Amino acid sequence: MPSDEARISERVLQHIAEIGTGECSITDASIAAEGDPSAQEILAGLLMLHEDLQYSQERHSALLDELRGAIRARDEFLSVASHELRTPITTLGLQIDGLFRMLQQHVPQGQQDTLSRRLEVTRRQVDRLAALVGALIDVSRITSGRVQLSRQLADLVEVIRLVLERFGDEALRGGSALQFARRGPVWGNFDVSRVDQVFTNLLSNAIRYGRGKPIVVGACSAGEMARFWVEDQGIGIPPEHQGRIFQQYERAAPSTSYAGLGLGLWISRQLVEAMGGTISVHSEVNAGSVFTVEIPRNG
Amino acid sequence: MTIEARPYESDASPSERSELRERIWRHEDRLFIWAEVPVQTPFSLDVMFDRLEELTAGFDQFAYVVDLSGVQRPNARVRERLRERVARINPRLAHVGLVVGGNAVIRAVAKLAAFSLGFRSFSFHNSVDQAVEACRRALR
Amino acid sequence: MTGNILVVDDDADLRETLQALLDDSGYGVTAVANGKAALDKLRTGARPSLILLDLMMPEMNGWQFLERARADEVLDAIPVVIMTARRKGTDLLPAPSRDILHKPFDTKQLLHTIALYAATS
Repeated sequence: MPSDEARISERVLQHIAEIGTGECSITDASIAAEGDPSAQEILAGLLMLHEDLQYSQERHSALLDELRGAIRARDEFLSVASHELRTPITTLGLQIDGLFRMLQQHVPQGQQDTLSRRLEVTRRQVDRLAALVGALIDVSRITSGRVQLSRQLADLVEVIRLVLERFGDEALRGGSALQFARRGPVWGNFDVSRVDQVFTNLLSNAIRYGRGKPIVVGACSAGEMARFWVEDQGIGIPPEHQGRIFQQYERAAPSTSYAGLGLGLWISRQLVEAMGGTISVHSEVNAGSVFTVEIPRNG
Repeated sequence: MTIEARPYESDASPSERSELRERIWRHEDRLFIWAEVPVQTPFSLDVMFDRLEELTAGFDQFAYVVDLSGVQRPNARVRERLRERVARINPRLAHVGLVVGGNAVIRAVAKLAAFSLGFRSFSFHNSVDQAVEACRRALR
Repeated sequence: MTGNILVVDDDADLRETLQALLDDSGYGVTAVANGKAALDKLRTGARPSLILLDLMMPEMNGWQFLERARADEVLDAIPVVIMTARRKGTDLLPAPSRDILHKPFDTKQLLHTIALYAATS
């Protein structure tokens, strides 16, 4: 009878809506109590559909939990492994220092050159290892949410100047002249070691990809924000890569030509954002890139 | 038969497992009967399908009757296992005779379930005898 | 104040390296592998002017050693410099430690820190 059909259709629609919200009021008893066999079939079918949906969600949840567990285990391992690496790196470094000393004390001046150069190369490799391990540790901290900032009153210009001093040698080896464009101090409450870390990352990238052309760095106040930038005239970044370079393990440059883990910019962005700031890039292939960071002066 | 109306899981005793297996038997030629337990579980299905596969090992084609008249409506987990196990025997399955009898809920579920399990030839009956007849016809 | 340093670290190579380096720099050095060995040495009457202490060691780790040292008047007075791979600012210095060297540290950092607490003999 038409009115019965209309009634069953209405009920079916209600149940469908219900099931969409994860509920179902159909029971075995209500199915058995239903008079019409086709209505029974429809209701039974809806109930099974609901149960299939619930089951599917449960398995999805279980999978997610498994995934989270695996990620936690991975991060734990990363953290432990990185810490373990720091002791042998310490020993290596100290031994090299010792060898330098012995060189100066026991080898006649004229014969020091070759050995000295070899020790320098060795020392640099150890420093690189140390930097890579440091990056791995940073990544594991950042991904497990353990970054802690410690701010102090400081002049951004001073922080940058110290980094530039450290880099003096390396820049010269790359052939790039370093220039600092500044206009007076930029005071604020900064996490000095993190700012140092970000700036160091940007500067090493500029030197690495700079093709020996001059590099200009700058810092200024911009209202409540402090801004610093690093500009090179190097290989540049293709537009399709510019969005991706801040991602983990992304390398815009061919890894056969340029070494590195691809973590630096990702770490830098995480740190800048943790400080409440932004990092951006303007770049043109073969013309160069400028990376700009803006952070609040009063965290 | 002393199987109770409760779920049987992997902690079932050896004698309980035997009882489950004994609920599948060869009725004649290539025709088998499956007396389903009141409360199915993936475990009970595995034990019983293993038995069916053992019994039908030599046959290119066979049919079976499933007595569902005392069975409770299977849940999603059970239906998933059913799908998996049916898929394994389906290529050689000429026909399934499903005895639903007076079980209103199972009767309501049976058609949809049979489709979703992938049975290619099936029928519903009120008694085991009628189901056996249908299987015989299919095997001819 | 004598110029004796007690090095406590479970890594044999690092112990040897530190021993050679500090010896070269004019300090008297004793090196042991864990907190328990360090306590034993101190209980036989050794009075170093500085203890260089690793934190992660088997048998008795750095934290456990410091707990024992704190409880003893004499030991509590000996300055301790902790060597650790853990990052700046994430650990509070457990007393009686006075300073931290973060691994990896170089010769300059090491000697500079030690000189604050121990004189050369």
